[in-house]
Amino acid sequence: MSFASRFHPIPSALLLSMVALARLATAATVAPVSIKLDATAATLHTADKKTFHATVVNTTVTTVTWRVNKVVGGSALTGIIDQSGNYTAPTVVPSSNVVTVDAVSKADPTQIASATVTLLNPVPSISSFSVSEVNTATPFTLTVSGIGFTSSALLTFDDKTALTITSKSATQITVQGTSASAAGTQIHVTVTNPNPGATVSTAKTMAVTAPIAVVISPKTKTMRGLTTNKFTATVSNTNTKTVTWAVNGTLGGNATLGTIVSDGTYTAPAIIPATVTVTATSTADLSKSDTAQVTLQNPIPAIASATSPITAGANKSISITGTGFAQGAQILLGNSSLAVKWVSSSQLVATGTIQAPVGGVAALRVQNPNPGAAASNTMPVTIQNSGTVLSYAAAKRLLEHATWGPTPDSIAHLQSIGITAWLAEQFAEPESTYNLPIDTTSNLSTLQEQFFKNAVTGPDQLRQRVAFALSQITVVSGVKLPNYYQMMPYQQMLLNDAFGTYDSLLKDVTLSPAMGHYLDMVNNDIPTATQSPDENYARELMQLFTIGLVELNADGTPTTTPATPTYTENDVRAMARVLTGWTYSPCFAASKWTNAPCFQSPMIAVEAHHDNTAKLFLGATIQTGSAEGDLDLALRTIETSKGTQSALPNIAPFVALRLIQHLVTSNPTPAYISRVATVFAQSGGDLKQTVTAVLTDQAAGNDGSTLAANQGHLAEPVLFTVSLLRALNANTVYAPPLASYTTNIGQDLFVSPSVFNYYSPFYTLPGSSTVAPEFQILSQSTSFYRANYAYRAVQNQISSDIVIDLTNFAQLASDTNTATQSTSLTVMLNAVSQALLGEPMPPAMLSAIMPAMLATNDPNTRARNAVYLVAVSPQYQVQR
Amino acid sequence: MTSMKRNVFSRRFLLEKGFKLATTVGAAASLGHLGKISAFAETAPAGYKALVCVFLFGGNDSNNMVVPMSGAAASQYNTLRANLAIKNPLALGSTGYGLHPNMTALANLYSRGNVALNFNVGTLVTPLTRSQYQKGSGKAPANLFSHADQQQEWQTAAPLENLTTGWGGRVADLFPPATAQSCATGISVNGNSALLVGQTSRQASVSGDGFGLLGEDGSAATIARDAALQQIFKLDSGVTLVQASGNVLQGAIEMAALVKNAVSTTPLPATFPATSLGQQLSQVAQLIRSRTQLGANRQIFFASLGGFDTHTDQLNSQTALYQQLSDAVSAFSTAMADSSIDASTDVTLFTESEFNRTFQPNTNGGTDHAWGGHHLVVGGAVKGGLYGQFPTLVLGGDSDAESRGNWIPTTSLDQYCATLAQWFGVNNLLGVFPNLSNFSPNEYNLGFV
Repeated sequence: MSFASRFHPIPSALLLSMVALARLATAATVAPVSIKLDATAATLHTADKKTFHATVVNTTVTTVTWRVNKVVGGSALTGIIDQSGNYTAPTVVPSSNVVTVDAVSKADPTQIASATVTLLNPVPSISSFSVSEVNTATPFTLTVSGIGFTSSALLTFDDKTALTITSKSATQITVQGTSASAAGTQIHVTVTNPNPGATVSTAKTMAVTAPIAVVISPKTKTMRGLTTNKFTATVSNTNTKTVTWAVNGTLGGNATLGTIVSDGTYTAPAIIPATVTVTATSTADLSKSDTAQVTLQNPIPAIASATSPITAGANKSISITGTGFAQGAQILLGNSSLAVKWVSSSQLVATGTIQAPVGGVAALRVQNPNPGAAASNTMPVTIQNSGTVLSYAAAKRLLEHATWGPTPDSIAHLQSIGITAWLAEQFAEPESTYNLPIDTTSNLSTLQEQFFKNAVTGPDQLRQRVAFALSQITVVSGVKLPNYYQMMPYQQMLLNDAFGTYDSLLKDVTLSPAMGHYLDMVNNDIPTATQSPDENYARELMQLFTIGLVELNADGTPTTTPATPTYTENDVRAMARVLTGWTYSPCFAASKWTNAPCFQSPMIAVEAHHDNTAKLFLGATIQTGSAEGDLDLALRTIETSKGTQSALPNIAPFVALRLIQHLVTSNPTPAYISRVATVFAQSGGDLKQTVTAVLTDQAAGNDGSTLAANQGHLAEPVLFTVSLLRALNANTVYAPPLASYTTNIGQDLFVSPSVFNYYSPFYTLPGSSTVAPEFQILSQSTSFYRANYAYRAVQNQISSDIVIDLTNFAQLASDTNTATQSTSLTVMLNAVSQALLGEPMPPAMLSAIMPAMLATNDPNTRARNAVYLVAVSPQYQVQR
Repeated sequence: MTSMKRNVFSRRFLLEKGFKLATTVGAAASLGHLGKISAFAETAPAGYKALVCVFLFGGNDSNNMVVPMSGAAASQYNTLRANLAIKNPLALGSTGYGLHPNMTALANLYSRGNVALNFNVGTLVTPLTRSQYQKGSGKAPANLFSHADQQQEWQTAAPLENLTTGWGGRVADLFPPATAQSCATGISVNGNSALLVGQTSRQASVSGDGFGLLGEDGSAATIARDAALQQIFKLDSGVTLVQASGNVLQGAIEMAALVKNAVSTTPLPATFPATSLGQQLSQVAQLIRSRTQLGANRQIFFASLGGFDTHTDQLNSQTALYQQLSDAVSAFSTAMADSSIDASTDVTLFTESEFNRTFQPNTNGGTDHAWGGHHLVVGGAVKGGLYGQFPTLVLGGDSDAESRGNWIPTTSLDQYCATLAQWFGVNNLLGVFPNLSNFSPNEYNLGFV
């Protein structure tokens, strides 16, 4: 307690004198108390400590009361002093920065020693930076840590960067600023405390680095919708490596633009935007970013499912689900042209006319347009014919019997109208015509080409088949008729007569100049002493064209055992005389005996050269007085001749057997022959009715009933070669040059080796009783030619004029995923089997062929080998 | 012309016509002697022998191939053959006969003793006289003047048409291939032949080009394709014709592999004419040259030429046909004799044809179907000369079955073929030629080879 505080102050001089006086008063007796400090002045920084010592003399009470600015113990403002004299400067310099520290003697409170303490701001020092470097020209936030920062301390960059202090404490100053120094500059950073005691801290250097940079990789990317790509953003010149991602400016993208996640993975949407820019922005400096240009392509479309089966016809729809369907996507479905309605990227609806393809299963694909046009996987779609009058298998069978082979269109048509209506259509169809001859030197090749063109494409299929069958009964051959002008009228005549009566056919054949020349009836003359009329035609007319060698029952079996011959050599000679007096029509000059060869009109009779004597022929007397009269009577006699035990004229089962063999089966049952022969006989030899009977008899198998083991016939070369083209829907532009192929396979068209045709109706398999006429020309070498024709067909190498397109099958075979390919290959093989065999592939055949499919990944090779193997298989070679 | 009785043909033909051949069930049942054939398979033969049949399809008018040049026959020939008579035959030494002028090369071969001419050979059931034929009191072959039937009978040696195997096939049955890798005994170079149809043996047929499957590129896909085809052949479809069809291609593939590995294609030591028969015989020569590689010790070949059905224009036709026949056979003979093949005495070539033709021409410059005719046998083992009995050239005479010179054969097909078969090594003659038993055993071998 200071004396001064209890009493109003006494001036010090007075005090001193009082004290002096007191001393004087007592001088004589005691020395006065006095106090002295060991320092009378000090300069301290905030928080500094100093210990004062007070020496008090002349008393035993040497304690003192320390005061700062006369406040005992000091204060936070001015500094604290404890009663041991330890003074701690305040942490903040007070507004008046000089304080007085005094000690008041407790012995004599009037005795006070004081010191003047000058307080100064601390010396700032920097210990650390929050960032070790700043990027040039980049706003930064820097927290400087250290000690001794006064509230007015200033942070200074020696490059004069303007700094805004955002927070300050004694140990931290946080500033923001942007340094313009170039990268590589070392900035000296100092903290400056103001007066009192203004000091600048020791500088700490701060590096200036290049600005933050963001680099995206890749800079450009082409990618498809529904795929992902991971972009990487490399941030340099900062330790903050994170970026934010945006797509076309939208952070994280969105469903329309595609999304991008924090690791930079961008997922392109199904419907691709026009342009996509991916941006990575540094979180450390939002002004720093980089972009990548993404070029988007449409996704690869994928079909998950499609409507199947579907019925062929107009205005049909297929709904297709999957992913990645771009607007403008097209549907590919075999040959069908479809309008596409885009519903969404996962659904399309295709509408249009749907055609059944070869084999009834179409490869469905979606084709996305550009950019990045691509096709989808293949989805097989079963296309069924709309017709229900007849099953597919039954229609195929009937068409094998009645045409040059089924086509997808012909099967569909027959299925929808049924056999009766189909036959009516065929009977009404105008006949195919050959071009008229233009000279007398052209050979048969153009005639052959026209034949094949008609066979592959002509509408009068049944007429052509029947005419060809007739051509193998009443045979003429290019061996002796090598020229177009000789052969063509005969072949046209067969087409013309195919649906007439057998009798009118025989008349036309007999008087045809081609036959007259071939079997030597032309210019046959009355016998002389040394020469007899030519027997050739007389014999073959009976043996091969009408009644055959032995008397037959209606069912084709011989009437007797041993068989009874139908005619004798006498009959042959008699008929040879009947057939005298005919010469070529007078095409070029006045008529005489004999006229020059003319093949465009029937032969004419010259009565003077006709044997008009009585001729005993098959029990009848032929003597009508004219050549034609004799001929007509002789033909009538042949047509009505029958064994005494036969129910029908021999000609009926004779013709019935041959028509059945050529159209349906080599081994008809006697009952089948009998039924057809009866129709022939009762209709007066009408070929329309007879052919109808052949085709529609229950034995022909149209009702799907099980066939006998020996039913069927080997497809003869002309039938095999044309059928394969039709089954595969081959396109032929001009005329298919198949003649060289059929010749190698054993049938030179129009050039039978003899009047006995290419093969005999009685030929049996070696060592067997099974009749198999066409096998007579199946040798090892012709079997190779059959296989090799099939090879050329699948390679599309038969001729430049024939186009066989196996694309649909190849597409169906395009699955190479080992988990699923066997299943999809089975679909393809069944379709091939459907096209060629009329039914799904028998399981045993499937097992045999599958390894060949799996031996390659090439869809074209798979398709070719599949079709080849089925076409070469005996199951296809033999028609049933 | 004697009148023909209607009952000439009422005699019993063992005809099985129509759509079934009732006795040809393929089993031994109806085959009589043939049923025992397998029990008499020949023992493995020594050396090598080959028969080469050249079938002249159409009915060769051999009346103009072998022409009498002296005595009554010559004048009868010139009179009756009239416009078709050959004026300048090639004389065969002093035999009194000549060959058609376009057969120079064959005439040469004859002069070297390598040609046997067999007169008046034809199908017979038993020896037959005109009287028996006319009266119907003897058996005659079935369907005498029908191409198809006579072709069949010449190849099956079954004049009553009760056999479906060919006599060459029956011989092949007796001489199966030596090993499983050997080639078939019977080989046709011109399509399927009825001659080589056997009971157990299967004829092979080769042709010059294209004998093999296309597309053999050695790739895995093709190898698998071929394997799949083999598997398909093994399927049992239950359908007779399907199985039969597969068997043919399968046999073809096997034969092709054999031929490819075994047969050399280097040029032959003779120039074969570029004619059909020339090329066929060149093929035969190639196969014979490679007989060791083929593992063959007995082979029967079938070649053929068509166009002999000369109802008209016979003179011109025969000019070309005989030229082709003569040149081709001659080239073949040269090849066989060459040291590189060295098979002259091992190979015997012979002709067949379904019938001769009417000695009397028709009004068309040609001839019609007849019966017995003359045939050639050519080879190094042949005992050259004339064999058999030349017909008496009188229309309606004792040699004539009918009235226009249809010669009744005086040598049966069976005897002719049995002679060849014996040379070949067949002992069981009646097994191969059941009809032979109708002839005298001391005429089973005519001695020309």
